[in-house]
Amino acid sequence: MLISNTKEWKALEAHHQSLADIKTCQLLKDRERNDCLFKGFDKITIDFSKQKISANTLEMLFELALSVNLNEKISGLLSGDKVNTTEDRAALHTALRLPAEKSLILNGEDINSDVQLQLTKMEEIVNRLINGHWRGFSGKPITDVVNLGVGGSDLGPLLVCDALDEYEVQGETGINVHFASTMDGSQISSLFSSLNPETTLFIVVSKSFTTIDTLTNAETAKQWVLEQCSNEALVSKQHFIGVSASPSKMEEWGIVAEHQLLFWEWVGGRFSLWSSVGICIAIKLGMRNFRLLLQGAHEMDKHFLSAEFENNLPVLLGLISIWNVNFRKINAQAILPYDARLAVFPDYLTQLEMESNGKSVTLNGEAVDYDTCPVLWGEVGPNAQHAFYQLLHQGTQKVNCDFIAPVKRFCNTDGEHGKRLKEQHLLTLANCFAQSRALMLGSSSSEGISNKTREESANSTSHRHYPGEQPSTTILLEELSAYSLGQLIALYEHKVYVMAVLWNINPFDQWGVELGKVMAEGTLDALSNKGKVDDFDQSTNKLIRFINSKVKDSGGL
Amino acid sequence: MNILVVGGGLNSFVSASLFASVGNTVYFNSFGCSISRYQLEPGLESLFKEQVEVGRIVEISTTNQKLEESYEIIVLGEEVETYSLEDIDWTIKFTLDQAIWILLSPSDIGEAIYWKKRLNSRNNGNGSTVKNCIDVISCPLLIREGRALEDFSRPELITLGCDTECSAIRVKALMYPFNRQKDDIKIVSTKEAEFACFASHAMLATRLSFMNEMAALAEKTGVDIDVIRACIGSDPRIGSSYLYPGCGYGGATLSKNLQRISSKLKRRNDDLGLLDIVAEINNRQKDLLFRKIWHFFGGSLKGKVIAVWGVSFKPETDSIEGAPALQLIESLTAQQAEIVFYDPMAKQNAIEYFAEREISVKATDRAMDACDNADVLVVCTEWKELWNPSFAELAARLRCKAIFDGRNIYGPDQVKLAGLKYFGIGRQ
Repeated sequence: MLISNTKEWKALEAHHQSLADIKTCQLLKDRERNDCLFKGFDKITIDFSKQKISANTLEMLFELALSVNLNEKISGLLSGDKVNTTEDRAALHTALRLPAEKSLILNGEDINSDVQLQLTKMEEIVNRLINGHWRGFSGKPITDVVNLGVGGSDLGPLLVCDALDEYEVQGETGINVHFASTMDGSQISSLFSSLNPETTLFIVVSKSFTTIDTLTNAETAKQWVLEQCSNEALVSKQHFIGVSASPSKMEEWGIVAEHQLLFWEWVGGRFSLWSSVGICIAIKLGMRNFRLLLQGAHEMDKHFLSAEFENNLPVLLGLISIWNVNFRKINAQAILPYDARLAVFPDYLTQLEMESNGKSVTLNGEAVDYDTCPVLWGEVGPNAQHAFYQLLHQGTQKVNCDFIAPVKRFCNTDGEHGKRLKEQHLLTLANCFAQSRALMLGSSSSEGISNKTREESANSTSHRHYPGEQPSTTILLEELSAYSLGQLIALYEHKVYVMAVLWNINPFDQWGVELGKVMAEGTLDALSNKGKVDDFDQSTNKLIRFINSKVKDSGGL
Repeated sequence: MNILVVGGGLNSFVSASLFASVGNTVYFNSFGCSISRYQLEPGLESLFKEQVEVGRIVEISTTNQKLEESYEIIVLGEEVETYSLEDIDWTIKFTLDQAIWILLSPSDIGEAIYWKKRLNSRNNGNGSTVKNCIDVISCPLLIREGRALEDFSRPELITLGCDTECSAIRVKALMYPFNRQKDDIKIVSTKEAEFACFASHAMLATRLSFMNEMAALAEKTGVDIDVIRACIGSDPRIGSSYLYPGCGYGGATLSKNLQRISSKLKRRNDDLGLLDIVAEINNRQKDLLFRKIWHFFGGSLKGKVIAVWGVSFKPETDSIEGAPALQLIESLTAQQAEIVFYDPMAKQNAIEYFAEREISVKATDRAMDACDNADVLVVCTEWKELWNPSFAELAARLRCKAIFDGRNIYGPDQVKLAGLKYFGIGRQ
């Protein structure tokens, strides 16, 4: 039975109707409700009170969650149940951040011992690099590392490296970390112009080690180094590390055994930054910070497993999103960090949420009759204020917004400019809180609008009208560190899982990305004149003919 | 004169010994350091002991409270920042009104002025500030390990940084015995003396790095840098000293003072980074021998046995601070090569250095023994005794028959004649 047919779901639909004439600001008068919606765990504090929910709503959402056995599903996820049903395997990203002394048995084997083994191997490689003992073909120490991966093999490490830039390993031997993901070659070619092949190491990250985007970039990179040193064995050994679940494919490509790092089938790409996939993070920030990242996430795992629903941050975040999507019919989610260090976070969540929950059939293959993952996007809040906030304030779409900000900032910056920076942080927080408030209240709050503006607005009332009632959640991090970032990412990972459990969909597969890949093969043949040109639909045929005629005219691309 | 010398480094022992040797009574607090640290410094230990015996050096200690003397001249031999707060407080306690502090090793520009202000505004204990009229002067000593006594007693030039005339007269008198041959005392301001000290180190380092840069080009051009060195060195505008390319300069003072002046330059907006590049070239030079060896073995050094001759940063010293051999050995062992080294003076220091870092190395007491069963030989310090080995014997001992000469002390042709491959710096 679809969840939409349960009595708990129907009750929530009715409850939603009952709130139709009530504004969020009226709900906010209930101090007890507000206290229930202001929750914290460790380094994270969340205010849900600007959501249009009453104390009853939460109770009813918990009932809904209980009706699908969310509790058991959570413990099943963490203990290795085959939650990825279409690929018949567990999704054990949480095992990647277990403390070394813990064990987790999967198919009769302690997988944490494998995890720790790879962490040790990774640490050894990281130390060699940081100490300047990893040498390129000419004997010079490696100074630059390029991560070649796409999707989960790119976004997670990119997010953490970018966000925690200030924590990078200091000193002469600090390694510069770069990322190239796109198959179009633009990113990697621009790196070639600034890097030295003698001192550049490439990390090829692909779970299957067949990802066309990554492997084509890797081949091009190898050619780039070979132009300077024709000894291919030496180049492969000193300039390429492989990270994959397939040792045989890595070997086939030429990655030497001691430079292969493994992860496992039970780690989904978009959940993999905690594994060897995160080696770039450790190279840039050092192993100590990498372990703090894991530790932060592990604390969130324990919280997710053990906290009762009313205090469980991922459960609350997930259930309130369900409320917005399925009952309030809000199909857009904006991620708005008020800290430019988290600029990549919206992109990261775009994949985490939409690739996980962009599904329309249940675990049994039955079509759902309710909406699943909303369209998600975002931008650094203060910049977005000058970009798409117009739509949030006066557009026709309802959007659920997550405002994210650190409590402490620039604590270690001294001097007059340090004072100024701290003031800038307060200004940023003021904007963050003001925007969420304005989105909720709309024109019903006349404060801050001058008399003159009021007079003007008499002439153009409709253009100056703010409908308000845009829901939002404010997430505060004590300060941005490896530990707290680990918690924040794990919070969203678990939120995604909560929503998938409620919708009864599989968040760990991504069949939707396959069809286009297959079609690209035939299309490439047609473009390179190896296959028939007119075998496609009219539109594609025309595009192919157009390109081929241009190629013919100019004697090549 | 009643002189108090404080400090446990080479400058302190040398200045105490030499000031005593010309008739001064020197009270000397080495803060627990012993002269035996410098038993390899030519002549120093015997001179020091002699002066102690005749009573012109009176050794005192921080806890020896019987001595309640105060001193008119107080010599701080080492960089002020290397003294502990307790040691400085102790020294201040024995500083008479009208006394002079002489700083022999500047560690900052404006340092003497800073200390003068601080000493003269100290509290007398009753809450009121007293005017003590203490002067602080800067007299940077450019003494080199291995020839410290000679450098101090027969200096090319004494730069006396002094901001008041009467102190200049007093210190000039103190230095008079070392300045008799040619009157070469240059009296400048304290800041100028400090600046000159850093600038001269920066200049020397720049010459060396410049030559190393030329050596890199010479190697690519098929030219012997030693010939170029001789040609340009004979030009009196250039002069011949500090033109020897090699595997990098070491030692405590040169690198540190270079770093100090370059960080001062960085605070200016128009610094283009000349001295950073000088330091960077030196770091590269220190890695150069490794790269040559790496290349020789095709990037596979595991299990190779490398003999290293010389680990001190220069000949005639047991100091290994900043020595290129250390970095080389660390890099080689990181690739799992095995090291056997020989050094006539610095063996023990190096053994301790590597033990602390858990790096396994072997050492021998004879140069040739290090080459038994070694694959190749690397020369890092130009000890005199290494200048003319039997190349035939080396060829017989070295399995891969190759010499990496980090100081260009061998003639390439002579080495090749014995059937050995030769790799120098800036030559083929």
